[in-house]
Parts: sequence; structure tokens; C-alpha cells
Amino acid sequence: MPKIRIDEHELEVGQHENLIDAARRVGVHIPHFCYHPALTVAGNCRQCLVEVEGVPKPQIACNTPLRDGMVVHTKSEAIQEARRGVLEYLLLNHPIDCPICDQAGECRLQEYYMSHGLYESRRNLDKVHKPKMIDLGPLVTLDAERCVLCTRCVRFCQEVAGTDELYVKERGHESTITTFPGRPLENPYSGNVVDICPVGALLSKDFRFKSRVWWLKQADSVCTSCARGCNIRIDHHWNQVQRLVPRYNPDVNQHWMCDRGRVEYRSINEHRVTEAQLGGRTTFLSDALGHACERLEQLDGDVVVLLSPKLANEDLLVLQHLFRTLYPVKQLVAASLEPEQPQDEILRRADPHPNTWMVRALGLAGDVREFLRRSGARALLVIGDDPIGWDPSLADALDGYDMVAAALTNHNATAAAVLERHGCLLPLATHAEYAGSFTNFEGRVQRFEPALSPYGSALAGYELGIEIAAMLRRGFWPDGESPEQVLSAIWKQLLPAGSDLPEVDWENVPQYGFVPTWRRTARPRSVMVGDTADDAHSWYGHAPKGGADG
Amino acid sequence: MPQLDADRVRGLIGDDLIADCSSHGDTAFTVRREAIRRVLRALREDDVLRFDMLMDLAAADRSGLQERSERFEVVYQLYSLWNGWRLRIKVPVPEAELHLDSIHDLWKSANWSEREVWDMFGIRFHGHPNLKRILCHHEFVGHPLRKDYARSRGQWCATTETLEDELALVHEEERRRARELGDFEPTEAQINERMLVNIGPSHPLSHGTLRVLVELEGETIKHAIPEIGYLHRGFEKSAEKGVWNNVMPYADRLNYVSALSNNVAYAKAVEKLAGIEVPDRCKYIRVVVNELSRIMDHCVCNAANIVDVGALTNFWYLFTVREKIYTVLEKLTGARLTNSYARVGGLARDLYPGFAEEVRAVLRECVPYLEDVLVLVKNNRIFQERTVGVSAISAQDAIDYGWTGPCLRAAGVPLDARKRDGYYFYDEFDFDVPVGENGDAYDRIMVRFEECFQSLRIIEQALDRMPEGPVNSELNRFVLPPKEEVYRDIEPLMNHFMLVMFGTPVPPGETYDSFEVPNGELGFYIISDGTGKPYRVRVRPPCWYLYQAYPQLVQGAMVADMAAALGSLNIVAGELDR
Amino acid sequence: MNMAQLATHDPFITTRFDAALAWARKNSLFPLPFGTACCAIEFMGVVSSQFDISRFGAEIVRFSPRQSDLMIVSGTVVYKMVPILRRIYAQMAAPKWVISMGVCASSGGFYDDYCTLQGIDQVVPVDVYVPGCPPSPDLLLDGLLKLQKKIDEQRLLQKA
Repeated sequence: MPKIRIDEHELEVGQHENLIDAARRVGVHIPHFCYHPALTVAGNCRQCLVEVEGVPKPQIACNTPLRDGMVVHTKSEAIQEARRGVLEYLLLNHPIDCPICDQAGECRLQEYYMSHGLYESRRNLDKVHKPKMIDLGPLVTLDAERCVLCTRCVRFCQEVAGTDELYVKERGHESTITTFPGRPLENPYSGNVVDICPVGALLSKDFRFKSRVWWLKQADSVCTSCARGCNIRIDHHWNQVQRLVPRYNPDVNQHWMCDRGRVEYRSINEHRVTEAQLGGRTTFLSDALGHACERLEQLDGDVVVLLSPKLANEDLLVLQHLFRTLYPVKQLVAASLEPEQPQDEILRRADPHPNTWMVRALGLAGDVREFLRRSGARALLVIGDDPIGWDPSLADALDGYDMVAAALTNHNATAAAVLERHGCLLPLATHAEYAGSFTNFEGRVQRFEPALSPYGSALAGYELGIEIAAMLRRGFWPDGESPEQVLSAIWKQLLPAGSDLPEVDWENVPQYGFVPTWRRTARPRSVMVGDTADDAHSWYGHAPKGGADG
Repeated sequence: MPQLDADRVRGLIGDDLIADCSSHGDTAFTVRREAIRRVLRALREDDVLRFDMLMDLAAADRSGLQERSERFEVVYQLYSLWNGWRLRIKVPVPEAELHLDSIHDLWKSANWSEREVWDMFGIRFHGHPNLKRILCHHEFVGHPLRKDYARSRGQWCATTETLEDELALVHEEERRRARELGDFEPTEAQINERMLVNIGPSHPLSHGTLRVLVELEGETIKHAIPEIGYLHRGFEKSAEKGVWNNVMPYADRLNYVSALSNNVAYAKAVEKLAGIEVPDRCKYIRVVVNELSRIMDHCVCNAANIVDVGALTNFWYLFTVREKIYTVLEKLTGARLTNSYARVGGLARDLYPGFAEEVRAVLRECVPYLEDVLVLVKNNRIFQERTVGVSAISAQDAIDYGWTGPCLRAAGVPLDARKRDGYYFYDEFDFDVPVGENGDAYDRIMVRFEECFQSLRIIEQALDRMPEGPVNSELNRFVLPPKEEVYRDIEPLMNHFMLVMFGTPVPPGETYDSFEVPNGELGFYIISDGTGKPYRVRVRPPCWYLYQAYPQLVQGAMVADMAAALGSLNIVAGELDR
Repeated sequence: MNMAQLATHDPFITTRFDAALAWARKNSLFPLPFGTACCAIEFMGVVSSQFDISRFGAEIVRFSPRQSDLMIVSGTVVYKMVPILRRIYAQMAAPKWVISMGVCASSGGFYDDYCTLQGIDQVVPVDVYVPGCPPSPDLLLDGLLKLQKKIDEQRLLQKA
């Protein structure tokens, strides 16, 4: 392993490690635009110039192979001048857009200007004008004037997405990123180019002008659009999710996420069930629950319960404990009619649910249609799923029940059906509003944090289970007062006996999730020495955008 | 003057020293909290060091800082009157054991400061006679300056405190003192005979928002119990909200009658922390505006004071002086009263052409007004009877209470930080420092008048000596680029954008800096966490320490003397309550 | 129709009476300067010779609520002060008006924090808001004139 020196730090590096990554490990930030750890090296921005002892001219750090004994200087006067010079060229034709550009607050040009620019502009000609607000595809818009032509987006489409939709046309100062005629940027991962663009050229149509980034608060979470469970970060403000960006996880999604996952936050913000409704009127949650539990007592187990593979691990554990042990019901199934999605080699999985693995491990799988039509019970409780939304013909299956109740997140077709039949509708919290964990398709348990305060009186699935158990006086109260303690207790106490489910120490689930059983899928780990998750260099205090290197 | 011998301090602290955290030219030590009383007493009684003044007692919640040992830290700023040395003693207080020994018996000035630390942070002081809230209202729950208290979470207050508990305490004290002196203790019946009058907070004599509960026996004041906090606007919490320069308007409204002085004081403190040197022209301009503020402040104080003792005419005269200076300041800064003129690294804009001539002309016009007022009151029999001998304080007591500024000088202590510390070329100006003899209201008023005349001298000299040159330091890391450039090019736009939205990172650290504002020493204890936003901005308000002595000043005096006493102290509630 | 009915029903008499009453009231407002902060200093400037509020009849400042009819809240009102503000307002006799001078009194100003009341209209009814930090004396005088216009429009005897 070669040993090198960067400024005053001595370190051992991997044979094929990139100098920029090595420097970041010891806290030295080498400014760069075009380099990205997951893409091939382009070396066209020239911003990462460093002095290597023994070589007369400054070298670009992203394409300098590491040799044993190499000494690198990143803070000399010559390098500062070089960086300033590169910035000056990049900014020569850059439009005066900061007040209207979404990237402000997470823009590399701004940061680098403040940290090692601060020169006076020598421009004495008009700037070159290029088209702005070009519609590249369903999710992405391009402002060609702001582009610094680092070609990260081009390389991404070529190497990661594999669809090769972007290229650089013209040359010299007329160079522009563009798509081919008739072929818009519509691959299923097009949103990632917005993350990796270091300036405000490629912007997400979904997020554009919604919020300034310094108002956004962050919470680490897990995507719920398919079984991959990409690690994401929820950026929120005014108690609404403003955007979702991927977090780096070398084992699950590296730096990326798919477009479908990006826009799925809308159901967290809109059409939410916020208050309990009983018999067509809005009531207090406690009243509605009380009423429902009274009926449950009377029915004495003649109930069928439909859970959802979208519920978190803890929700499933508590609810299956409730409805199998404490208050045994006729049938308990967790399934959904949501159709399969296209699957590919990159990230997307066919299974559109985040927690199917746990459903199977707990033995809750089943067929929704069979279940609804032929259960023969007198009451139906639906938690989390929307069967009528996926198959409207099931609405008449609901007529076979004396009582229907549902705990749902959104006002969907099932909610409407329940209200039509004067059932009980309870508000359920989405995964953005409580802490829990999902298990992805390879059995990896990944935690998610709460981002928002629950809307109205929404309860998480496991909280609902605990409340019902308490009202039915078959309660158990997992000991603990804070949510963390409760969740910890759930894992410790509620694993069904004899299952091969792992012991999960809630408080110590590692950063990249972990696969606690022997059933690992063989997925090569990307070559990423060092575990620093995010680019720590920041002019301001908040986290930079995207789990992508930045 | 000779340098502070840090080794001697270390020797006195001995084994209780945790760390030496001197920086930025300050000497500071962290001390174990069990030993704080011993250490402070030793520092005061040492023959060489003689740290006899407790300038400030504050605390900070260090939970967001990299460098910390415990969550809270109580900070004592000590000052040696005879040597001019400053020392900072810091005591880490763990969250699990949130208490400390009180030092209210060592320095009288510590009493209210410890109550404030309890109010804002929740740190208890053992042995404090009455540890209760002082700034927040009595129905407030929580400790607002802690980092986990949300800034905008307001709490309503339905009732006003009756102050019965404090009344009981002063009666207790009265009885104790009577016993000591061998006097007759007042009986229950005698106490009930006395009349309780609640003066303020909405009262002409209360200068805004001061409340005093007086217990009268006939016309004589037996006890006066002040209550403050009626203008507590959360300066220190608001300062943590924005970037470094955003604190400037808040600083204006501390002592709102001399807003420019506060601006300059804050900018000077941040520049000390960041290690920025401002150009000479900037320093001279700051001197000029500081002295103009001094004239304005003293005019208002004296005007209000003399009105309170019954002479209304002077109010119009002295306010005309103020109005004349307002015209100049309005042209210079854009505002009459609360001008946010200073910036970190310089000033908002340079002087306009013709400023010097205008200032000279205005001041020439003001002199006759000041002289006329003096003629009316100086040898006026009634005025003298109302103010001579009223609310007199001894120099020793004044020092004990932490007094600074004209009130301290009136008590006979010639302490003026401008002469002592000599910043901003003050050591080169030729001016006198008026010092009083008796420390009564008359002396304070006269000292203020005389200081106005001395300020006129300083302004003349500063205007004469002012060099040409830039008014902002060169660093465009701190200073906003000119607006014309911002609209024309991307680099100045980015510069402006980043400085306004995110502020300039000041390297992590802390410092205490003081400045002689018209009312005394305005100190800022600033902690930076390395970002563009202040982490903690603690204001050492001169009024705080002046007003603590008020009960002692008016005890035994007549009710009518309350007005003269309060007015002569120049208590500005914006600074007192922050 | 007897005299009393005439006085209260005949439009000519009631409008004249109202006008006279309004004229008397608006030109002899007795301000109660509920001054807390910087705006109080600016108010002192308005009262002084340069801006001279006595041109408009409002020079008799009375600090007692029993003797005044216009409360000018000048300065920030914090939650601790609220009971006192309510009490002073309640002690004033009708007719009474309130001018909220400065942004701190109107909306809390830039003190969006745990101790500052975000606008005195949460506690007392306000007739005129004068923005500014502090408002220049001309602006306060303008506010006073607006209040005088408002008093002009108040009807005591006329129905509707």
C-alpha cells in the first residue's frame, strides 16, 4: 500500500484510490467539479490542480496515479493562483443568476469563490448567452448559461444509466449540453444528474422554486417505492417534504436513486387522513378508537385484518403480535395488489413494496382478493393498504362485512369506500413521521428517522397497535418512554419464537444498514476506501446536497 | 502599564486549574467549580493582582461547540482597577449537576447576574438569597438561552408579580441589621403602618419600563425594590439567529439613545475575535460618531433628569441639540435614531462630502444651548437642593457594584477606558476626564455636562486628523462589495450573496471586548463556532450594574429624590433588559 | 316631536352635533405615552420644539390613564408587560383610542422570540398603526392626523 503525504498529513492509500478521495479522508478538501467517485475521470475542469513534488507543473489530482513516497501540496500560493485562474475562466460567461438559481446555497461556484476566489473580475466584454430553461426531459431542465461543462451528466448517462442521452454539442465557448432530437432525457434515473450537477444548470422540475435550500431541514430515511430500499434524505420545510435526495450507501444504492422514488413524496404531503372519522363525522382519535375497540370486543376475534408490506418492521411486529397472540383474529394477511414495476440491473426492483421480506419472514403473505372475498368474517380492518384503489371491483367485497375499519395515510379509494359504509377511518402516519426500519429484498434492515411532525392525530402503525391493545385491555406496554426505547423493546420482546429473524439491536443499527441473516445476496461492494459519507467541506453549516459525492 | 503576570494568576489558582484558554490577547483560565469562591477571593485580595471589580458574570451553553468540557460554562470577567488588567475565569458546569456556589457576598454586582444566569440557563447558585427569575416573567417555564429552547416559542403572562417575597427579604435584612447595631427591631405593627407604593412600569418617572415597589414611612423611603425585565426583548437569543452583521440593528437598540456607540462596540468586538484590522480612517470616523452619540446620550439623560426634578425648559433646549445632531446623522447613515452604521470590518458607507464642515457648524450651534442650560441649573438653589447630596454613593460601593462610566467618575474614581486602554487613537487626543467628588446626583449631572464639552474637543481633533483612504478593511471576505458591481458581475454577486445569506466564518474561539460608551463600559463576550453565525453574544450592559445599586441609593431618602436618583443613573431599559 | 327626539332623530342636528363633538375631541387629544423603548425617544422628539405635536392639539401628555384619551404605545411590548398594558387600557375612560407606534408595537418588529408580544392588537384594539423603526416624527404626526380623520368619522348620535 503506497504511503503518501498530503500537506502535513501522512497517510496510506489504496493502490487505485483517487487522490481527491484520499485527501478528503484526512480532511483536506481539493476543490473539483468534474470528478465523481462513481464515474470515470474526465479531467476537464482543471480545478483540482495540486502541486506534486518533483513535477514542474501543477497536476490535476483526479487523474494523478498515487506512487509511494509522493508528496502533495494543496495550499501553496501557486495553487491558490491556479485555482483562482480556473474559477475566473469558469465564471467569465456565468450568468448573474444567484437570486433566482435553485442551486444557491449548495453551489460549488459560490463556495469556491468564497474559499479561494475573492478576486476582482477583469471582464470587459458582454457575456455569451445561451438558451435557458431548456426542457430536457420529464424531470430535468437545463440552463445552458450556468453550465461549466464538467460533463458529469454526460458520463452518468453513459456509464450508470446506460442510455447515453446527453452530449456536448458545438465547441469553444459555444459548447452546450444537449439531447439528441426526438430523444429526451427520460431514463428512469434522470433525476440523478440534478444531484451531481455542481452548479445550477441541471435542475429538477419537481423542486424548482419550491424552497431555498438553507431553509431545508434534513432527515435520513429509506425510499419506499420498491424493495431495494435506497437510502434517501428527506429535505423538508414547513412540515412538508420538499424533495428527496439519495444518500450514499455502498451496499444498496451507491450514490443514486430512481426517478419514481424521487416523486413519491407527494403522497406524504397531500390528501392525508389527518383526523379520525366515525360514521361520517370527524371525531377525536380516542373516541373513534374506543368505539372500534368496543366492537372488536363484541366480535371476539371474528375479524380479518389486512396489513400492508409498506408498513415498517416495527409496525408489523407489533400488529402481528396483537392480532395473533393478544387478540387472535380469524385471518391476518399483509399483502397488496400494487402491480409489479419494471426491474433492471441498476436499482429498480419489480416488487414495489419496501418491506416484503419481513412480511414473508413473519408468514403474513397471502392473496388479497381471496382474502377479502372469502374470509367469512364479520368485520374487516385494513391497515396501510389500498386494495380498492388497485382493484375497484373489490368494493362490493366490502359489503360482505358488518363492520369495516381502516387506518390509512391518504384519502384514497379504500378510505372513501369505508366512509361510504359508515365505517371507522383512522389516520395513519407515513414513514416520514416516525422512526422505524424496513427490510429490503436482500434482508437488509435499514433505519429511517422521522422528518415531519405527524399530521393531525396520525399514529404510526406500531403506536396504533399498542393503543388498541391497551384499549382492549390485553395490553402490553413495551417498557420504555421515548420512542427509541419503545422501538428497542419491540425488537427485543416481540420477535415470534422460533423464527429465524435476527436479533436487531435497535440503537445500534449501523450506518449502511446490515443484513443480519445468512441470506446475503452477492453484491460487489464498490471500491470505496474510507467510510466518510459526505463531503464535509462546507462554507456554511448545513449538509450539502445529495448523498452523491457532492 | 505593566503586563498581567499570568504565572502569578496560575499560582493562585493552583491545583484547581483545568486549562489555560488565553487567546486573542485575553488572559483566561478554566477553573474547577468547587474552588471558584476561593479562587475569586484570592484574586481579589492579592496585593499585586488586585482584581477588585467583577465586570461581568455570564454563562454559555456550549453544546454546539467542538471545544468544550461540559455543557455549560459560567464566565467571570474580572478587572483590576489599579492596574488596568483584565482576566477571565471560566467554570465548566456539567448538565447533571447544574449548580455552583454564589459569590453575591464577595461582590454586590453578582446578585442580579446570578439570577440572570438562573433565568436563562437554569444553573443554581448555592447561597444566593433570592434565586428567582429576573428578566423573563414569573410564569415562564424553561430556560430560553439554552440551545434546545426554540427561539420563537413565546409564553404568555397573565399576572404581575406582587414582589411580596422580596419585601419579606428586605424586612428580614432590616431586622438583622437592627440587631447588629443594637437598635430596636421594627415590629409587625410598625411595618404594617408603612405605605406601599408601586411606581411603574408605566410611569413618567420610570423612563419606560422600570418598576419600583417603595415602602414609605411618611415621605421617607424605607425600602425600594426594583423589578426589571419589562423590556426583555431577547437580544442574546436573536443574535444567534442571523449572521454576524445581522446583530447590528439589535445592538443599536440596546442603548437606543446612543445607538452608534453600541454599533461601534459590537463591530470592534467581532473584529477582535476575527483578527481584522480596520483602516485608520474608519477608526477616526468611529471616534467621531461615538463622541456625537455621547453628546446625544448625555443630553437626553440630563434633559430627562432635570425634567424629573421639575425644570421643563431645559428639556426643549437639550432636545434641540439632539435634533441638530440628528440632521447630520440622518444624512450620514439614513436614520435619526437607530442607525446601523458600523459593520464588521468597517462602516456601511464613507462620510459624505462636507461632513466635517457640517459637524463643526452644528456643534458650534449646540454649544450655546448647552451653556444656556448650565446657566439655568448649575447654581440654581432649587436644583442644588434637589440633587446635591441625593443618592450619594461611596467610591468603594460603586466599585463593588461594578459601576463604570460617568456615574463611577462622579463618585471620585477616575476610570475612563478611553484613557486607560487607548484604542482608536484616544491616547493621542487631548481631552480631560471630569471626575466628581461626592457621587451624588448633582455630580453625575455635572460630569455629564462636562463630558459633552470634552467630546466637542475630541470631535474637533478627530476631524482635523482624519486621513484619506479606504473606510473598510480590504477583506472582501467580510465586507460587502459595492452595489453597482453586484448588479453587473457574477463574482461580486456571489460574494454579496454568500456574505448576506451565510455570513463570514469567524474562526472558532471567544473573546471579551469592551468599549467606553456614554454610560460606561459596554462589553461583548462573543463565542464563535467557526460558522458565519454568532454562537453566543453576551452583552455586558453598564446599566445593569448601575441599577443594582438603586435600592441602596434611595434608602432613607425622600420619595421625591427617587426621580433625581433614577434619572442621574441614565438607566436605559433597552440595555438593562436587553 | 319634542326636543330630545329632535336631538336624536333629526339628521341635521345630529350631524352638526357629531361634527362638533368630533372637532372638539380630535383637536384636544390627551396622549398617554405608553413608551417602552426607542420609539419613546422619538416620541419625545415629536413633542419637542422641532416637530411640535402641540400644533395638532395633542401636547398635554398625561401619564395617568384617568386623564388621557389617546394611548400611544411606543416601543416593544413584551409578554411581561402585557397585564400592565391591559390594565392601563382598561383604566382609560371612553372614548379612547390607541395608536400603535413603531413596528414592535404593531407586530413585534424583528423581535420574533420567546419574550416579545407579536403585536399589541392581540391585547388591545388599535386604531392607527404607524410603521417604522422608529417612525420618523413626520410619520407619527401623519398617523395622528389619520386618527383625527377617523375621529371625524365616528358617529355618536346618528344611527348608521
